[in-house]
Amino acid sequence: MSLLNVERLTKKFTVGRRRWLSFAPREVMTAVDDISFELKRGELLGILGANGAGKTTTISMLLGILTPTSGSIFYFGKDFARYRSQLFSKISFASGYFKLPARLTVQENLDIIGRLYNVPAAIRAKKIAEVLAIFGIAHLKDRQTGPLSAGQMARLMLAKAFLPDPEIVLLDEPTAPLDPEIAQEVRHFLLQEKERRGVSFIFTSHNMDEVAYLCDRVLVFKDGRIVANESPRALAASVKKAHLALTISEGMDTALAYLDQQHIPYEALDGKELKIEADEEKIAGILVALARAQVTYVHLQVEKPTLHDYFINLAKNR
Amino acid sequence: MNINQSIALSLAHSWNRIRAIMLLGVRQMHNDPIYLVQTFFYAAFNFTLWGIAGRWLHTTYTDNALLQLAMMTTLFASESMVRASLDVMGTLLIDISDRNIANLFASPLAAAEYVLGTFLVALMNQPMVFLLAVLIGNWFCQINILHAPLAVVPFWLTIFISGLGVGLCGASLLISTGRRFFNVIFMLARTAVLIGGTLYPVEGLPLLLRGVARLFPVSYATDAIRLLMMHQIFSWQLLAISVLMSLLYLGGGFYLFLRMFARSKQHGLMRLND
Repeated sequence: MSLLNVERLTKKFTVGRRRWLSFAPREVMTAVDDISFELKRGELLGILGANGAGKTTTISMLLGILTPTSGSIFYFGKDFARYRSQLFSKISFASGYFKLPARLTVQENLDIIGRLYNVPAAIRAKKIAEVLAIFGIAHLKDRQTGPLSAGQMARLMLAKAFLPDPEIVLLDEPTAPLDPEIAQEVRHFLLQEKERRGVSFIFTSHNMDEVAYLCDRVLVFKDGRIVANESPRALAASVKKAHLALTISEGMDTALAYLDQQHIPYEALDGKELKIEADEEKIAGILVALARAQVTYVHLQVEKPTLHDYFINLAKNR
Repeated sequence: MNINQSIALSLAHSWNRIRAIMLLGVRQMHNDPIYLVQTFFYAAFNFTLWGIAGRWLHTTYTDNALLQLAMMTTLFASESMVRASLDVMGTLLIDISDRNIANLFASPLAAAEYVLGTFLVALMNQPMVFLLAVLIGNWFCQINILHAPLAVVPFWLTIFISGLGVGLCGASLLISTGRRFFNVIFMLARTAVLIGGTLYPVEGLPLLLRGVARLFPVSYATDAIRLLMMHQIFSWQLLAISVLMSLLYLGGGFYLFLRMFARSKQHGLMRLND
């Protein structure tokens, strides 16, 4: 069942300032261009794209803090524009772009959020203690929010997002400011919530390994459009090029001559290390050819294409 | 759940959210003494300055103690208006400065609930303004505004309501432009004290400013307070005008805020973070 349906969503902005007494039309920039997608229950949907591709604009529209130019958003089958307040009781978010009031303590801020989401008074304090413990910031509960470090603030924003027991959580680069071990704990928690409570996530990150690890499906944005809607594995598999690393013991010159002759791109390091880029299905043929040419090697490693390779390819093809 | 229960639950949730905004404003002040002092500094400053000046005029040149009391009462009413308008604008300004806008409006909170929450913040700060007027008046100037007749209360109320309206107009500008124009809005709110007939009748102003002064409900209410205190005349006509104008300001301000809020969302509330 789809919890979120986005249909033909478009956002256009007028750019530049209008000149005094000028009636010339201003330039229109299309930030998001006619995108449609859905989010299923218990799904972790990644959004990838270069800066300016339309990720943040889309998230802003999904959060209702930016009005679409056209198109519609349906959460739980209901029109978001019409049932906004009612629907928000099941949707929450965490983003590095936002903070919480600096003068209030961590506990006070979460108490305000709890009230906004109508977390019942009887369980509010308990829920706050729970989320603070989950994200390892229980010791900060009486500290003012202003002086918190970026990592502590990121954890507080995550605690805020999970306080109302949401069914859909929008996460905009939530682990970027976190230490590696904390980031890993957060990833485990997200997967746990997905499995245990069937929470659905929309997740943006610049960390490709993280997206590949967490997401069931990835939307790839380019120039405001969705150019791919696949699993991370399928996206990576769509990249034909793999990397072959060899430590040559004998016949380096022969190997280089062969690669030049076949127009296969390579990189030779220290006279021994050879890195070859080739289509995945041609790797076996290259190894056979090198063996026939009496090239011997002591170490061999084949790196399959990753989501990172897909993204780099996409950027190259701009 | 039947319709009545559903409406009752919805209203209870709405009230929870309004209280959350009120608590947000109260805790900001409670946790930061500097902010607390800043909030009430101008009121205390004006009560002291004009209270002492009024006492000096009274003891040196006039024998009319009512004039001094009327001045302090109208000053209190005007400060009440300024405080109300700044509380409405200030709550929004702090949320913009704290990058908290998206947390609030990407939640079940509605814009109208936010506005009502800021009204409650403004209402909660009023006793403090009153207390300052009473204490400063008594300690420094031998003026006790508790001696003012109870009949001034409806006029004070219209002035307070107009303050909420002025605050909403300022908040509309803030939500559409961000923090840039706050100082201008602050000056405009203070200008209402200058030309609103607070310390002197509007007739004492230059001709050009008299017309402008009559655009502010405070000018009618302060006229009425003076009339009541100096000549014991309760003007129903001035009350009606100030009530109508205050409601016009409040309704107009509310409409303007909702319009500007919707317009601001066309450009994205995140833009206010800059």
